[in-house]
Amino acid sequence: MSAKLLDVRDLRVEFATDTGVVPAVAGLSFAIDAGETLVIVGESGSGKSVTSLAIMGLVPRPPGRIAGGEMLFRTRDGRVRDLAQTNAAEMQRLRGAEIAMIFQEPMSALNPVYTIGEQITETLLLHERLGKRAARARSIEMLTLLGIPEPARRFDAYPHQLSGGMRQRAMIAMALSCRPSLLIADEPTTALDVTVQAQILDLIRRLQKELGMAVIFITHNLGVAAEIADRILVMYAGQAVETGPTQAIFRETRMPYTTGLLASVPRLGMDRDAAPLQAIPGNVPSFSDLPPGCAFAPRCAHVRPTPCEARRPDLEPCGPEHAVRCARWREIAA
Amino acid sequence: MSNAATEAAAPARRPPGIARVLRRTPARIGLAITIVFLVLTVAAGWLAPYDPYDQDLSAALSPPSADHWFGADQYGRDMLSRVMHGTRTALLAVVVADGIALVAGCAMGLVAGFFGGRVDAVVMRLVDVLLAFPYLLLALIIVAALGPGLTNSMIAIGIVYTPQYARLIRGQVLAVRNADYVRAARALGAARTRIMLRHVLPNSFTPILVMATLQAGSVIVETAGLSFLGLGAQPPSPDWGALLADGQSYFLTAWWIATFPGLAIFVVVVGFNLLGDALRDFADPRRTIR
Repeated sequence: MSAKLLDVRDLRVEFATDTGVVPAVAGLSFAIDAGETLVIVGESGSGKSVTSLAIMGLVPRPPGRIAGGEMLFRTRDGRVRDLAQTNAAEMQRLRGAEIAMIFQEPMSALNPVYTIGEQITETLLLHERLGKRAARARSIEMLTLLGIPEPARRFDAYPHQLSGGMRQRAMIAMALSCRPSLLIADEPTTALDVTVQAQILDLIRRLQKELGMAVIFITHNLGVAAEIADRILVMYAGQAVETGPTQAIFRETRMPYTTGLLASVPRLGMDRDAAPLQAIPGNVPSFSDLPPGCAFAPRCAHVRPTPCEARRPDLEPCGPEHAVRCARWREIAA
Repeated sequence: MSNAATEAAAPARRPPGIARVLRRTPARIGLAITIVFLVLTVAAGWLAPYDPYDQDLSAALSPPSADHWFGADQYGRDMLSRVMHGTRTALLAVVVADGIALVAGCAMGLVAGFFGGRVDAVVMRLVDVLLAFPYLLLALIIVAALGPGLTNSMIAIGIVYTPQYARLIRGQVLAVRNADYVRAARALGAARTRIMLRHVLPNSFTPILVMATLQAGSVIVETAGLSFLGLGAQPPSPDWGALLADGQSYFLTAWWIATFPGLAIFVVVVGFNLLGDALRDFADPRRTIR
């Protein structure tokens, strides 16, 4: 039995489209401990959001389906269950209670016709045997925990009466009201101002410590990743291309793709005249015509006909807990 | 937390939209007509000068006068009293027929839009079949099958108007179904039926209220139409459609028997339409209201 909170092994998610079956996630493995923060980084279309939907049991089907792999999740009662095999009713019980999710758009992720109090209590009443009064008290407690001023008054406010930051807090309050052991945050700060972004990140970190929950944080912002991550998983075309502790990813970058991502982030103090900001040439390949070799080969500066274009490289260890999917990482590092 | 405090807007102050809408003359006229109509349905018994069924053969076919403002029919029944009492069947028709259409239509459209796929295809083809018939013809067929009478005619009209509600709410549901808050509710463990009724329905409902009001006028016309053809309310009950039918044969000699019920229908339908327009202006944020 695994001691991990969530152990994803060789996850495959496919979507049936008009042009054929598309493997949005193609053999992804990772694990996360209780209380740990894993940041999944990748461009749009790299499969990071689909991964989170798969964990939540919310892959729309049809057209999507979980084609293979295991997602072993340790529930609160100590049992380990495979989320890929769990039935819909059971998943529904787990969602919100043990695994919760927050979304990118705080503007539209709250229902405009109910007060935020009603929406937080709804989650509580769904999962816990609570009276209305107790639920209200718990909700106000959550709002307080999230640093919302005058929580008792905000309880009766409608979403349109709150600012973006406040709404994102209310959203987080909803997600955390049942004290889940795993929180999936799908780019929760993208739509916010930078200052508010920092506040929300601080908040998530603090709550994580207080509630002892694990966080899977999905982002394309490496700055955010550096801020919050214990470990980082870089995804490309539905696969992990580099994974390791945050320090290792930033200091001993092995995968040319990760290097490209890092180089494309502007930094304070950069000399504007020295060289233009580097972009990774090209786009994420379409899933329907992935190259037979390394998926990143068409955009890679270090590409060679062999071994790069010959066969898909494996994820191989390149340091303590550090793994990379690149056939030439040794030569490139040297 | 000081900047967080300023970040939050002051809650609770109702937007004055409805008041602004009602400041316009057509909206006021519509509201006034509707209120008079509703008052009459309740108070016709006290306000009407005569019993609507009382025959006074000495006054038969008497034209409008101080005694009989709207004249009297061929049995000497006071037309004003009969028209006033006619509001009751008209309101009943609105509540029952519009109600049937609204409930059935919403149920069908909601299920079709929310579940999509095969459910959607089956329900919406049924709706298309209903829509393929002219309204009155379809109502006639249904009444013919059920047998004439006020209740059956209201059921028929209800069925006839169902498809419009179904289509309207389906469109709304399709838009709302994929909203982020619906996904969020799913992610927090709400069941599908719960999401459908608690999250999708309330957010799809506003245009339905507008439609129900606009439709009230048409429903009155249609029930009156069925009564006129002798398939709805039966004599001697003072239904507007039946009154029209009654007066039709005397139209050249006693114009008032048919004219006043006709005018009543006209005024009430205009009233409902004006009110419906006002509600639509209120509900639709894209229309700017000054």
